[in-house]
Amino acid sequence: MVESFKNKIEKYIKVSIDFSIELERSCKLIELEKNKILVRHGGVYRKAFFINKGSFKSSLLTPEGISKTTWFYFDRLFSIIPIKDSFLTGKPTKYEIQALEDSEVLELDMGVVNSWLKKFPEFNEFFRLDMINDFTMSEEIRTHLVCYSKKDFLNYLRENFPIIVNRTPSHALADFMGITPEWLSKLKKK
Amino acid sequence: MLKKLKSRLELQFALSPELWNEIEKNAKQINLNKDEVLVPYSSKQKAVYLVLKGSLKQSLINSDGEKTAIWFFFEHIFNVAVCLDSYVLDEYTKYELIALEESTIYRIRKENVDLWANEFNEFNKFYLQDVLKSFFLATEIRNHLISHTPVDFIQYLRDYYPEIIVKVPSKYLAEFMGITPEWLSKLNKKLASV
Repeated sequence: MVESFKNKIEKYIKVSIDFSIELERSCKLIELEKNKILVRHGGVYRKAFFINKGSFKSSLLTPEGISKTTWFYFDRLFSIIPIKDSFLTGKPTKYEIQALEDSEVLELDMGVVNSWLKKFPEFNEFFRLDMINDFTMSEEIRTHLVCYSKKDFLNYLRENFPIIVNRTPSHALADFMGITPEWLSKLKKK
Repeated sequence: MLKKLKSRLELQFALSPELWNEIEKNAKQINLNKDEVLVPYSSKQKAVYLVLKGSLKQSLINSDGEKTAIWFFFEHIFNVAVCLDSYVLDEYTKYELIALEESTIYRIRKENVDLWANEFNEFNKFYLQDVLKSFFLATEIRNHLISHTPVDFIQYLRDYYPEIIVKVPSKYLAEFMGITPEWLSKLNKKLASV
């Protein structure tokens, strides 16, 4: 159940036997069908999720009550979903996380994550390095979205993050880019 | 200024004399005039910059060769500036950091940050909690920029991050939002009249 998660950590640092046992004991496996909701707007989630299989999109509610796509998570890229606002503050989240494919995640409780950070140096190092890596890439993508023309941004994604273009439904990618699916389709043809 | 740096760090975590000794030895003070460049484009800068006084603007050259403001750093919020492509990915940076006003910065090299995070528990905790919290908040702001209308986004900044509205010149804030300064001015008037 925790093999993928362990492999991800081991990209940075060797996992001890004690931590392997702890991982098996503390992670809860959740399976979701395509389009099912993992996290709902307004819920309190002091949790993070690790994607074993599948992909997700995150949406934010605008003041007009419209749901807008703000990010994507995959089993091979951005595979940890922290419920950022709720995870840190304990307040209800403004985000919704929905499965884009049939998916499988490990649920990690905030209290457990905090205890691992103190108890297991390998997890502490992994957390620090992985979070900064993911943040760096997400910053790069969001920055390019803001600065580049839509066509150049799509090219940038194709060249640097093809998984986003290949595995994200057009309507969700268009929504993230702030354009219509028809416009995205024209850009793709171009 | 070193005294100010020490008090600032002590506000954020329990700073041990050993760690302070290390910081004192390795943090380099940089004084900048308004519009002076701290990090130029295409340089490799594996360092973080702690804003002790003043503010910084981070820009990216877009696909048309134009400079676009993409983030801001201040004394009280988002006070750790970094060019992440250089810092994490070891690339020549696509970003530029310049002072928006007369500023005092402390430069700390990545190798020191990594070493201290491994050797000093209090620094490790600070790094995990406060730095990542800043990252999360920055992502929050960007998510709002992507998903909200310009008027709603300005309102969001006014409500939650007034320092950005107050300290960033209108032309850079407009650039950051992807609108013209004239449009921003209209939005501000509209919100003022509500």
